[in-house]
Amino acid sequence: MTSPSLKALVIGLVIRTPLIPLLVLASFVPGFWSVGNLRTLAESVSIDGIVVIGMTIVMIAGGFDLAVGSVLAMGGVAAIVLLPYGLLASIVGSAVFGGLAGLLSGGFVTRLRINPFIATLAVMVIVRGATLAYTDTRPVVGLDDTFLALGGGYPLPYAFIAMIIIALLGHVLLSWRAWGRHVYAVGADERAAAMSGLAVSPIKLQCYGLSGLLAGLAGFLLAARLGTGSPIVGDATPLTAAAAALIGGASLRGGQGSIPGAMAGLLFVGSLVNLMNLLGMPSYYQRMVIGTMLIALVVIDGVLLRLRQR
Amino acid sequence: MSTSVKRRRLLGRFISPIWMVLIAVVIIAAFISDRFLSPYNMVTVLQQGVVTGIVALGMTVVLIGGQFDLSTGAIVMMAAVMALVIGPSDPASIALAIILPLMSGAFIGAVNGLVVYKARANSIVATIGMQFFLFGAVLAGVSGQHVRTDNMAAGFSGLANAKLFGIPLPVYLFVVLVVVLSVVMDRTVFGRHVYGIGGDEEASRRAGIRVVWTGTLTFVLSGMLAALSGIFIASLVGNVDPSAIGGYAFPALTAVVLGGTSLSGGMGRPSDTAAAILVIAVINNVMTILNYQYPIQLLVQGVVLAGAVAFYSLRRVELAP
Repeated sequence: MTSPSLKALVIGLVIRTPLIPLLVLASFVPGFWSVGNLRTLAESVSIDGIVVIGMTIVMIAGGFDLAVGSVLAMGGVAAIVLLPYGLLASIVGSAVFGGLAGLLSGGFVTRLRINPFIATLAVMVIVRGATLAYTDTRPVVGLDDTFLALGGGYPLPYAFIAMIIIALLGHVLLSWRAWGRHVYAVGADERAAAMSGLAVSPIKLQCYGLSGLLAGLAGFLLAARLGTGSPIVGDATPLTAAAAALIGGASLRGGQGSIPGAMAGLLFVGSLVNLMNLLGMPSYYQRMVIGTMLIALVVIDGVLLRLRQR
Repeated sequence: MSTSVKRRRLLGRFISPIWMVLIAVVIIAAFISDRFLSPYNMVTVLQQGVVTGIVALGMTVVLIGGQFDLSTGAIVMMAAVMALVIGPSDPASIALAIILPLMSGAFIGAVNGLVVYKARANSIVATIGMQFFLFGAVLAGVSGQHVRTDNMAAGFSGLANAKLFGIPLPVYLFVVLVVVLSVVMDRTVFGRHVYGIGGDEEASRRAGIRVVWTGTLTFVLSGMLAALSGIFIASLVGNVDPSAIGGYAFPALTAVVLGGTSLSGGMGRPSDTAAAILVIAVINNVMTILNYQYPIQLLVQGVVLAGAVAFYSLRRVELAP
């Protein structure tokens, strides 16, 4: 799993994550391969992409994080609010706030043994409520040249570069370090992992904390791009992130998935949305497509489980 | 079984902790604001509670079966929009504005049920996907615009607004639904099977229970109840902003969990969900009176959900052998 052969990679990109067929189809849409559109694509996937990395790690550990969307919004607001104290405070602050929210989720899951979906649903609502209350439901505006410059970048957006770097770090962490193997072990069979002497709770806690931290950081980058921290962004983020991770080979039952896979899944979802935009489909239809895709993915997830049990 | 244990269980059948919480919350609310106990305000509390409550009843049955239905918020919205688009102006269109949303709710419930029980998909993600799909579909259908009907017949607006002895009709219907569902869950084969599936799906399957059929029915029930709630909203306000009324699934889920329905299924009672709905409605009402707006209410609900889940899960750990 750590080093997929070329054959596996091709099969993965054609069948499991049908990215190559989609890109071939995309060639028939005028304007898809233009530099401008590719930059738009890179920009649009980069924020979700950073979230996807955290989500994938949590899913490999057998969890789920519905809170990433509201943590993203909180990170953006924190970034703007902390901007007067310097750029560093802004970056670190949004990441720390995000990380704390993630640790809260992790605490619910590990200490109180709450179902991860419900635990993170509660945290999602708590964080959303707190962010809306703090901002009085209005976006906060930040005006700082360096800050706004971080939201741009040409030809490659800085957010995209950040996503690539974080993805590489995450991949190294998961595939080449002991910690990563432990995460896979915990997700595949928690009981067996505990019996082999792994500290299951701390590992899961770290995964949730990491997911929150990355979501907060993504919020910083989004705020830098928009120049505002909106308390209402990110309601579709957990779904998009989950869809990308699932397409990329992660399972809702844990122990599976990889960051390169999730990145391919992210590109698939991102290209699909981009194509729909190019074809002029209203955003409502995009919601329908993402919803349908998610249902199809969990159905496939269920079917695969049954096949494996045979 | 000794008589004292039997008596305790009998008592426990009717008075579970959540009813005590309800009484406590009402007493506290009465102390906080003297406006709380005014008849007008009580009717408001009931009216708000019932709309979410009907949704929560359906979700309770689904969760007793061990699954989640988070598509209910979108079904409420869909049903309200459908009823208003049909425009109930004469008896025939009134009937249509009631039957069509209910049937659509049932259909979506059936799809949810088959996806979850037949295809074995994770119910939380699948029903969130369904919620997304429905939101997109309805918003696309009405191009994101407000929907309203100008000549709503009195018969339709009366559904939610008419009062008997000063109490709105939906409140009576809610009470009837709670009683009927309690009997169905407690005394019928269907209800027993739902508890069985929630307790242990594989064992139920081996015992010959038609798991897919029974489980799908719970989703159908949930879809229809959510649609009913949407019809009441349409009747109540006659003017709906589709992108603003989707938030019913979360408070309903909070109530279901607060009422003691186990997250892993097999335990829970519709009557306890009803009590929990009233607890949440009272808390929200007091916060509104004290001028704490939506964000704080959302925050409090999240804390209530987390607290309730933590309370029940810790209690279960203590009770476990």
